[in-house]
Amino acid sequence: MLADEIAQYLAGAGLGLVVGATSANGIFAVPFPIQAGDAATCVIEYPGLKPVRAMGPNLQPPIFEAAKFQVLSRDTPDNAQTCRRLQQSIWAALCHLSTTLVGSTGGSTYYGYIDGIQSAPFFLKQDDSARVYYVCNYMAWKAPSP
Amino acid sequence: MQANFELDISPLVAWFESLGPAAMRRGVEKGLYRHNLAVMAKSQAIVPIGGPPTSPNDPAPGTLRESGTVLLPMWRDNTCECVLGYGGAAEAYALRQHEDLTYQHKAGQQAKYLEQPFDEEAPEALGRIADGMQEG
Repeated sequence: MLADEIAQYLAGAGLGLVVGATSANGIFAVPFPIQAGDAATCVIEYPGLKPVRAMGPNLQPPIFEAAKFQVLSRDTPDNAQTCRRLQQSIWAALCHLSTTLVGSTGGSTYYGYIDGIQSAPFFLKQDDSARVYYVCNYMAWKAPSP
Repeated sequence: MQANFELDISPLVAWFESLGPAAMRRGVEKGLYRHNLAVMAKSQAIVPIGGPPTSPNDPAPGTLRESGTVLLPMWRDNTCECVLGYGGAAEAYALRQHEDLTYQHKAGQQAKYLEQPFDEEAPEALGRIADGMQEG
């Protein structure tokens, strides 16, 4: 799945993120779970464009998907700059990326191209606990995930 | 296997030229405006309305939906701009509601309430402009 593959990739990109870590700097392939720490990041898929198909046998999967996803980071108000810098590093690690990514359940998926839908991450909100949230949306031209 | 096609589009080119720049501009305006109306219609069906039970403290449910606007096309040199969006009285939270995928919404309402209809309708844009040009 896309979110899982992106989370795994970002965890290995030297940004200090650890998949599923609940203490700090955890990255999750689902919206923030209840046990996530104040400093956390999550990858959320949302509807993209129609997939690209080619002629072939009945029920053949698309050759390419145009998938969209959001990377959302949060941190305490004192660490707002850290949160923003993390999002900028994530943006730099994802934009113009063409590679094969591996998910946590094995199998690999070819990503032809990932690009930011926005030119830079942006501030989204402060929640009831005053944590700050920075976010950026991305689009991936990719083969179907296994 | 190889198949060769020859398509003579000179009558089409001549027809476009016969329309003249003013008619083509009118067609672009009509097509873009109708396209944005179609996007907004889809958007209005899914934009969050607020109110209980998901937003019990919302003082004015429906403010965001009512702020949906499609402006008339404007020309800037040879570029036609047709703007649609949300804001107005809901300006403070329209972006947040659009971008925050973690909010809980009532059934049928959602974040990305403008981006998703825009993506879904995008393949129809050129056809609508072509229809507008044909009407003149």
